[in-house]
Amino acid sequence: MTAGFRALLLLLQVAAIAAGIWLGVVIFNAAS
Amino acid sequence: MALGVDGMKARRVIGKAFLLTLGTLVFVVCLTMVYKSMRSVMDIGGSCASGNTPYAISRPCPKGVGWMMTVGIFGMFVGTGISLLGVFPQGGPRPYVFGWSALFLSLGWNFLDYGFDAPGGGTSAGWLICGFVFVAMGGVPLLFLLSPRAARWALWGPNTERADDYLHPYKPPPIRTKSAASTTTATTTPEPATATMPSATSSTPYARPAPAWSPTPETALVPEPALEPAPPPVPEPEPKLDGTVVERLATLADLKERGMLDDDEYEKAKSAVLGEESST
Repeated sequence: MTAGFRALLLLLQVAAIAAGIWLGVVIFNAAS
Repeated sequence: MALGVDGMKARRVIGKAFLLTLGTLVFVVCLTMVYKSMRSVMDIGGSCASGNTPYAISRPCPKGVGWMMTVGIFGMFVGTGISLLGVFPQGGPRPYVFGWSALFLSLGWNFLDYGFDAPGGGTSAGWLICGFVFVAMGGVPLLFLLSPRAARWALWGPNTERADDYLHPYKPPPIRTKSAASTTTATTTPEPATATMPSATSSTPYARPAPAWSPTPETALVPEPALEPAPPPVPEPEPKLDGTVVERLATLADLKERGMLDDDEYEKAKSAVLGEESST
């Protein structure tokens, strides 16, 4: 596995965490 | 290699990367829902009730908290499972490793935050205890990050370098006799590495290069001298056991300890060693 692909996966996880926090707050605000 | 991953087709690589990211996304969404729901419940005192019940509900739950808590808690398991399906054995980050700590540190922060500043004013000892316990449960496992090797494994993945031994075939060391070694040591020069490497563009890519000691065509035509009859084999003297009596006794004790000698055999061997020593 190349270093570039590892870095891409890591970047995807960081993006998923940021998007997950945003989406979780949006869902909570919409439901409450 | 497809898309930077060995031994995997491009479609599978994309699928695993998608699952890995989706799992992280699902886990974080669910954790955020649980985190926010927990805070909304703690805002009204830390307890609530909802649903069909014969009892009178004195403190109803905030809207949406009931299903968000349920979906959030089970969704974290689902997200972790999806993430595990997407982990590449060849390397890459292992986000599921941080799931436990993310859960307990975030909820522990809620306990500490509301414990020091309780809704009714003052502090809440119960929440503070929960907060410290949760922070310890989530923080202690993260200490593995102090090890650069472990941190690298979790964030960057294990090292799985491609085996390229076929590019460097094993070359046994040259066998020399004592006389040859003494005469050739001073004159031998190291051969260039390319001299023994097969050419990748050769028409016979698997052919081994000719060894340096192979006979030339001229010498190969010279008939070998007739072999003299071999002398009768001389019986070699029986090898005598090396070591002192103490070492031999220690060896026997070791064999007995390993179960290779039982008590009788050990005693016989021991008496034989002692007897042999006393006779000499």
